[in-house]
Amino acid sequence: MAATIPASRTVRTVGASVALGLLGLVWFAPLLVLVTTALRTGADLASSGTISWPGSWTLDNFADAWKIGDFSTTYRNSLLIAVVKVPLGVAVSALLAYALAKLDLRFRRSVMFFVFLGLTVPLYIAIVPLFTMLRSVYLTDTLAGLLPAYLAFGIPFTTLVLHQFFRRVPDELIEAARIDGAGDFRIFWQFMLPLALPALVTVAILDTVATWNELLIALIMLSSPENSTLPLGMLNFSGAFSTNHTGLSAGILIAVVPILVLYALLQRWIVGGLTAGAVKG
Amino acid sequence: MTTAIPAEAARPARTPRPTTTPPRRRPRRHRPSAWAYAAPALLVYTGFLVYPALQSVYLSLTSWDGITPDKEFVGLDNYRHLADDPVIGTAVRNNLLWTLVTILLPMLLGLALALALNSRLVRGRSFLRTVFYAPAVLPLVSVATIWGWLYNPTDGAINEALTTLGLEALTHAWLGDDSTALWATMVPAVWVRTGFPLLLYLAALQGIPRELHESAAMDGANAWQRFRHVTLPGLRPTNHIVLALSLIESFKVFDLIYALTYGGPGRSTQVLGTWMYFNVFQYYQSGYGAAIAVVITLVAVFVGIPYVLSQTKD
Amino acid sequence: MTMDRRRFLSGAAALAAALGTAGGLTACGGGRLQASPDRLSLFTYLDATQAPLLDQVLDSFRDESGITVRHDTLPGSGAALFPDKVRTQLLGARPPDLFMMWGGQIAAPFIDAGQIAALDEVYARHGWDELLNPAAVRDMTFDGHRYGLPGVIANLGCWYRTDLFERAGVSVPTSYDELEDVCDRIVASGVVPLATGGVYGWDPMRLFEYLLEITAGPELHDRLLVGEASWDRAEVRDAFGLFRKWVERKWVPEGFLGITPDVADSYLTQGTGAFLITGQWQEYTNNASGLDPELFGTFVLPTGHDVVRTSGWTEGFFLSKASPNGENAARLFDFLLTPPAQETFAGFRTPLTDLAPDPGELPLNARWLELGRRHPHYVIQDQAFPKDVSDAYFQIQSDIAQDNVSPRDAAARMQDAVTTWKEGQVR
Repeated sequence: MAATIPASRTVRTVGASVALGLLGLVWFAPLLVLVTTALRTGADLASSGTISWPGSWTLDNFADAWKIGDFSTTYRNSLLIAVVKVPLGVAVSALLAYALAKLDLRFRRSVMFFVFLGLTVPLYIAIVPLFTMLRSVYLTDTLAGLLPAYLAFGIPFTTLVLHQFFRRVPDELIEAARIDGAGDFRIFWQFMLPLALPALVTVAILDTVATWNELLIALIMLSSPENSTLPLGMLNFSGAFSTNHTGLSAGILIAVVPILVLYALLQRWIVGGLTAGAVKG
Repeated sequence: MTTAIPAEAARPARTPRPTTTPPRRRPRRHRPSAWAYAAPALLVYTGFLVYPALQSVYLSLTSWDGITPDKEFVGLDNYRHLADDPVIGTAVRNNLLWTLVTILLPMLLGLALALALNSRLVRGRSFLRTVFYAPAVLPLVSVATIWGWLYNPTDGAINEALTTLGLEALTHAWLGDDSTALWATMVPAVWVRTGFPLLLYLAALQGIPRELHESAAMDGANAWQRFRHVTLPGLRPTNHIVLALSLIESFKVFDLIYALTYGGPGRSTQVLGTWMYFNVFQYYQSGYGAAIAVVITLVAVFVGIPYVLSQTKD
Repeated sequence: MTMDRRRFLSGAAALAAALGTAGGLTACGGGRLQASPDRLSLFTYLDATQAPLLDQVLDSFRDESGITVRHDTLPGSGAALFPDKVRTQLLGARPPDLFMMWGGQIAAPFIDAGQIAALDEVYARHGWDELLNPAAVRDMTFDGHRYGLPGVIANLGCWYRTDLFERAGVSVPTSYDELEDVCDRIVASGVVPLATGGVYGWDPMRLFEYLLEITAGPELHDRLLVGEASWDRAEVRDAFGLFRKWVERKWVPEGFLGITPDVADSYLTQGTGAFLITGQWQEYTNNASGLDPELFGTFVLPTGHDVVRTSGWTEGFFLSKASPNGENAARLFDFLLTPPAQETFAGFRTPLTDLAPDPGELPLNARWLELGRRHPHYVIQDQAFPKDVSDAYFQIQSDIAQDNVSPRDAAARMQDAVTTWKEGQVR
């Protein structure tokens, strides 16, 4: 390889990589504070403060955090919610986006407005009516009760992002498929979804993060410890008058690292998912 | 629909036009079956978002305290009260500033990073993509905790870094001063929110076929010209959606300010979102809080109009 | 404490009957709630250290009475979040029979809205007024009626680092003037005197209310807190002036308005701050820091008045008016006040006046139990005021700290906020 690349290009490669690497380091630095805090003893933190190199290292915080945050329960619950909610939310949104982008849905513009409106509704204002609604069907304090609310608040965002990607799929491609005898659903399934794979992965990641971190709805809807989700478990780290910072930092890492790993795995699908030329040039 | 963006983008280059289907308008024929695709999402959305939201419009016409079973109807009193609530003025101003900064910077940074992280010049792209996206996965309350440590006026990393760089004169109690607190909340916001445009731009860059770049390069276009005439037009739809979504997100800002400054010092960093929250939940003035929420929604709707129009024209 | 079971039971039955009617009148929407003979639900904000202690008590209560108490907790939610949760819980399909809540204006909205049952009769029957710390009973009293059972008392005092006092060459002050001198010398020794964090407003408020207790004195201070005396007066201006002095003389951290109280607390363990104005829980934090307990001391802040008062509050158990299980609740309340239950759950923060738990690991708490009985407490300002008035005060406090407003204007603005509150009550 190197032999075929002009020297100036190598220099630029190194230069660009180093520059970006340095920026990455600065970008990551605040997280480093989180990592060191999770890896030091409470006494060390108490005497040296958060912004200092740990005087003693320990992994105990993770074991403690696992217990305090009740992670065996909260992890299971959050995972359950995410595994059901994200695919379902992306699926129904994708169908709606498809109808909006390619199916000549009647009142298309009005429906777009209607969906767009949802982005603007602050969660805090809908929460009490939502609670009374779910109470009437005995779904408060159940994981199932979270689902409709989570879906509803995810739909506008996911739909609009997917709509924008679906629009870019050339009509010629669809017409060609239609001439070949493909129905609406087959076009959706065999053309739209694969072509929009980067977008699907993107919204799935964003949706997972939002679901994983959602606190307010869970806080208001759930009350039993056995139904708690991760963000609720995180509240256990704050006492009435003080916060267990080493445990909290370990807890945040336990909660967040799986999402980061998921992203690291999925991002190749964003970046490599659409083969060049699949979209007409 | 003839606006397949890449084709338009290819204008300056030698364009290999497909010889088969000529661009043509789809027949305007509404199909009832389309509703079957739209229905599931619309039903859930209407039932669990629109309906509760509409109830809050009703609440905004009452003096409900949030506890008592009775809700007294007071007409537009809550909306009139908006005019003589001094915090509203601060909040609107803060919202506008915050929105401006936390849209522009993450968009520009996200675009620049997406281009860099998509470039073959950079090694370790996959790793770096994770690094730059990492802040976006944190719960905002944790973000506030971390930045609270960094901003600590006595031993926080930010002031210590300034001191180390010989800029001791610039050290400041960033969050503890009316004049800097709002700006200080924007820094973590940019840090967290760059991940979103980064992700969307990365995805969008994949939609621009390599051949376009290659043919443009063969035509002698330099890097800037290729960016200007191939990449940028290809990103236009993404710009629209990133802008629209960020605008709404920024306008609705709540968590970060709530957790980092609690609207303070005093009320200097109150935004509409936090002020609504304080009224609904802490001051037992649900009716008034609902009125603020309705106003937030109305403003955001105006923001949405150009976006929706741009997305629905053929 | 002696107990007449039979009398208690008949009282409880009367209470239950009264509650039954009240519950029937207020029950709205989702139908009447069913009474259950052997169950109670309790909702608290106790954290991971406190909740198990209460659970122990609830277990022994079950063994004795056969009543199972389901205890749900929302730890770490604090006074900013917990009341919201209770509010929606009360709207819910299964509202808790009992919940914990801070006294004063945090509980007041629930009482105004008719959500909490009055306990006057139970109090009278059991003579609780005689058993309990009067300040605690006062904190559970609204419009002359007893509404909650005191759970724990908090007293605020000065908690300091003995080594840092020694290094600065100062000792425990016995007057406010001495305290000022102590602060100056601590600053000279390179340490921040009072570590306080202003993000939520309530931490520096503890300084202000102390200064106001000094300038106004107990009687006027109490009238100010209930809005009966005007804030637009010399004593209040003086207190704001003193507050400003603390900022100017750097007796509080520079930029304290932008740090959170728990960051400020860490100044004490790190040795960068000499003292805090805080309560009994500080000893747990000290012990957890791994530092030598000898490094920490505590004293009552001197006010110079005949009766030296501290700031404080009471957290109590409240019975939902809609609950059909009033009888069970009364039995639980009675059980909670037995000495063994108090020792387990409330410990040194007990509202009982004649309990003396073994100091053990918590000598400073033991000392505060005694100090708290000797020094009555005034209601901490952010519980004396409804939240919106507190927040209006916090803004004024922030403006004073930044020198955006004069003490004179600050006092006038404060009175405006109080006037609005009082007018709202009349309406």
